Amino acid sequence: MNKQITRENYEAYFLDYLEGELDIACQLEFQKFLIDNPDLKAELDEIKDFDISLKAENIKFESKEELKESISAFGDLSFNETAVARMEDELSREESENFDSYLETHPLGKKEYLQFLKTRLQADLDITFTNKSSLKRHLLLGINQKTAYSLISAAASIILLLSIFFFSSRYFIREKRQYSVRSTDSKIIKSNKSEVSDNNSHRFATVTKQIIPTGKNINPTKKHQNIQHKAIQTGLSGNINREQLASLELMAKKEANIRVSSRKIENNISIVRQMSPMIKNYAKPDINDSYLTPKQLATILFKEKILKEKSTNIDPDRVSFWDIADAGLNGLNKITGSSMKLEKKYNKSGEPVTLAFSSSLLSFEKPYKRHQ
Amino acid sequence: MTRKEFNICVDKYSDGVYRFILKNIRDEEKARDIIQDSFEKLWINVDKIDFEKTKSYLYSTAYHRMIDIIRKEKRKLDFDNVKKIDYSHDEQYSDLSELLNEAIMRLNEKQRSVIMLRDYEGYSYKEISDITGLNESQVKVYIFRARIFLKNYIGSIEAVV
Repeated sequence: MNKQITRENYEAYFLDYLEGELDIACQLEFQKFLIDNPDLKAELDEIKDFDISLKAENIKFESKEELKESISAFGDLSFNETAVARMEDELSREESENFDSYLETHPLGKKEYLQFLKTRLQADLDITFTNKSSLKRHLLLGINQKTAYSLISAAASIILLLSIFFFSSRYFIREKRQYSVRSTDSKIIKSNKSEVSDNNSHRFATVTKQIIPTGKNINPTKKHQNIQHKAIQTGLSGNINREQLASLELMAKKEANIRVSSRKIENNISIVRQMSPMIKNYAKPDINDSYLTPKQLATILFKEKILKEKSTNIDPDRVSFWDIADAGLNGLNKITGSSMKLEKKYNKSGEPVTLAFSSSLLSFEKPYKRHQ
Repeated sequence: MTRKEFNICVDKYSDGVYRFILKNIRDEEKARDIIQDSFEKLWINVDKIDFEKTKSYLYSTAYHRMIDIIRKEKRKLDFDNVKKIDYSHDEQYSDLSELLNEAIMRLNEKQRSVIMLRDYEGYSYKEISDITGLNESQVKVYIFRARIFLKNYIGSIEAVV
């Protein structure tokens, strides 16, 4: 307080003086002011004689314990939080007891808590998932998962192979026709675009002429003769293609089973047998041969690699359902280690009579039906 | 997990998961699809999942699939899907469970899911946290809010009835 003490502001200095708040410089100035104003000094002396400080009354809050008890029942939580925690079993044993005690003495709180208890959901056990079997995983015919995948892969491979087979046959049929060799009245005729002019074909044409010039010269008298005659006649009167040539080759192989009385036919067959290497070359063209279509290549590979046929016996233009079934069965045998087998059984004349399936568990036979 | 164990899981848990989903979305066809998807996913990961953990895996898969579906539908029905968080009392309730069923449909999907997992399956906060991907504190908060809402809803209905 560095302001000058005047009769207007002396009261503040009085109070500070009485409470001992004036510093030394102010005290000196205040003493000088009192000397200059004796009436105010008399007033100050009068105040000094009275104790103006207030004394605190001894008043106490009677419900302290009640308050403390209320707080301790919930800790730091509200009633709702404590109630939820209680029904969720999240309170300690002591907290739970305190809360329960609180509820005993507070009916409103208890009612609220009972309301909370009603919010507990109950599962409706009538609701069930009825189609459980659709979720379950079953063994595929007793085969484990890995084997099942292998089987599926094998099946997919076969389907792929078939697709290639049929796909290629559609796209290359035109090309094949261009190179086909037709024979009518025992003559070999090249198509316009054909480049078939190798020696083998000429020689073969000559040979086939020698075999059966017209087909009319043969007068078979026996059943076996009929069969062979029909086969040979068909082979020469229609289109001579690789399939038929292969049939001729097959007949030559099975000549031991064929009893033909006609000496002429016997001679002819022996000629065919002599020519068989040439026929083979014609029937199974080399891979580099221009005649080989993708379909034929696929067929040859399929028969060689999967069916394990001898390369000399392969007809590149024909894959039968029998071949496919045989391949599938071989695949299954490899995967499962079983020994299932499909067989054709022939009669004495070399015709298939039954189809037989055999395995370690099951075997059966079925009569073979030839489609005319 | 073996094939046999997988099939045991189907018997043991498909009802519970189906119930949980059906109560949430109230659409039997979608609930069935979700169950199919969940078990399909379990089968795909059958080699990676322990038999003991399949239950929570199934609930978790089904829950997230359900949330995906709800979100997609929300986008479609943005304006129709406004929930009325009022306390209209047009409905007549025969018992408390019916009243509760009505009330839980007024919860948001997270609150509804966590309280169902808690009450139907008795999962701990930690387990619910693992299933839903929420942290434990969030799970507690959602359960607390759901309880408060349900209690107030029941209280208000009962006061009227």
